[in-house]
Amino acid sequence: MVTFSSGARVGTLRQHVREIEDFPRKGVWTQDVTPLFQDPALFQMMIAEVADLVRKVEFDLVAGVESRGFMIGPPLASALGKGFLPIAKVHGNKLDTIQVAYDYEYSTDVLELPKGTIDPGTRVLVVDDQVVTGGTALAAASLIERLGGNVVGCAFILTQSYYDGLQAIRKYPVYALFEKNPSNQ
Amino acid sequence: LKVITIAETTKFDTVLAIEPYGFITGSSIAYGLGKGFVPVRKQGKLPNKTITIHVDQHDPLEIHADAVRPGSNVLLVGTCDCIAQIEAVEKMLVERGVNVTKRCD
Repeated sequence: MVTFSSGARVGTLRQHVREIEDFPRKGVWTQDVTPLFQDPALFQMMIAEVADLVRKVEFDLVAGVESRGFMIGPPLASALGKGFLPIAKVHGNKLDTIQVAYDYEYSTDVLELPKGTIDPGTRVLVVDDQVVTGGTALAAASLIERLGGNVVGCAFILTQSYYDGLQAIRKYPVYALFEKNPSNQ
Repeated sequence: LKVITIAETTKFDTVLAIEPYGFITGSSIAYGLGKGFVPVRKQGKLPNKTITIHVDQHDPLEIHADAVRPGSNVLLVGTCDCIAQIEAVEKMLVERGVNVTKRCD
């Protein structure tokens, strides 16, 4: 189930998401959220709105996936007084990790988490900027669950319904500020 | 703590951070101090018009062209494993009239 924000400022944020034609390949239009980070007022507004949306959810950690999840996760964690759990792509670190391969809008990749990173029962909110295929959030959730964590939901700035990404993560509560589909679909 | 101390006493309007780990500190600093946040990413990741930054013996980086504003003051954030990247970004910014007020690395 998706819970959308009813915040009064969400329309302003939606307006500043920039649609880019033919990225990452011809025929695909992408939603570029970087203007929401670049402008100081929009950045504060965006984090405040996402924080409001998930304030009643009980959890311990915000998890963000490299790299855009590293942009939104830490400020959201900071706003809510939670810890931040970075889920990185495989960089060949020496720690003993568990890994998961996943598909996303650019290609396929492998994510990893060092064993023992979280205590069993830790409640985790997965965040990313947007749902496209849902592959990134699903892969992150599976790593957290394999380490004994509970995924309490997934939070995003925006969802898209065109790629069935929401279907992929339907077992989790989803929180988003708004929906914004590519206007060529 | 060192990074935050530097950031609090330095004049800047925007944090530029280098992918991926610079994003974690960079976004926190920008949010905490009410500044803007601009990602510097690996090639092919940023969707809008970009400036390419060549880094000796490493993969090139990109930044959105509209995020580089002459006369602006930026705090450049990276991690100790990306010194070459930080130096290359700093050089590009200085050439374009951006004031790099401090580097944190």
